[in-house]
Amino acid sequence: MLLSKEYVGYLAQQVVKRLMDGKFIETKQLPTVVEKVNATLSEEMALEDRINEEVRVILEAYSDEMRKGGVNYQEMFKKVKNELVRKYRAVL
Amino acid sequence: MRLSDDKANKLAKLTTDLLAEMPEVEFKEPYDDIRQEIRRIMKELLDAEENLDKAARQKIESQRRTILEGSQEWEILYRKYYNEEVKKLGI
Repeated sequence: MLLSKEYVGYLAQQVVKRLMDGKFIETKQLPTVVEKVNATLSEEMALEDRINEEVRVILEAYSDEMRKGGVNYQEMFKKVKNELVRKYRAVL
Repeated sequence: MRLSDDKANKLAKLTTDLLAEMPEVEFKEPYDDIRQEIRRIMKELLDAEENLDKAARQKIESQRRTILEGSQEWEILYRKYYNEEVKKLGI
């Protein structure tokens, strides 16, 4: 994940607090709202990590063929990753 | 900002959609105004985060010997210095 877990938590807390301070939103359950925003941001931020892991699993299944065929791992990684980004319509 | 504009826009939209769905939250301004405000807040905070990243990298670069980025040693030092910068913010 590009941002640390701690900073994502800080981001969530600051977004909600500043929206309230600016009278954009109101809530009587600040900790609950912050927790849910944190969970949403964390999940989205971890998307690329999950895609990378899926690519690794896929490439491992084909590792023998890739080795025999002299296929470059980095290039194949990029290719498969782009396919998954398209498949999931992910924004990285 | 270390995230792409598209990613930051996506995060702002996801956050706005989430807040709109929560019965615990009452919107006092239109949806789009809130989404744009979230985007503005995120940009400010993400720009600040970039400074944490730069400070950690500068500390590594100021070491007497060269430590290659991507090496295990670099990763450990980066995490250490980054976390020191995060602590300064009181997070």
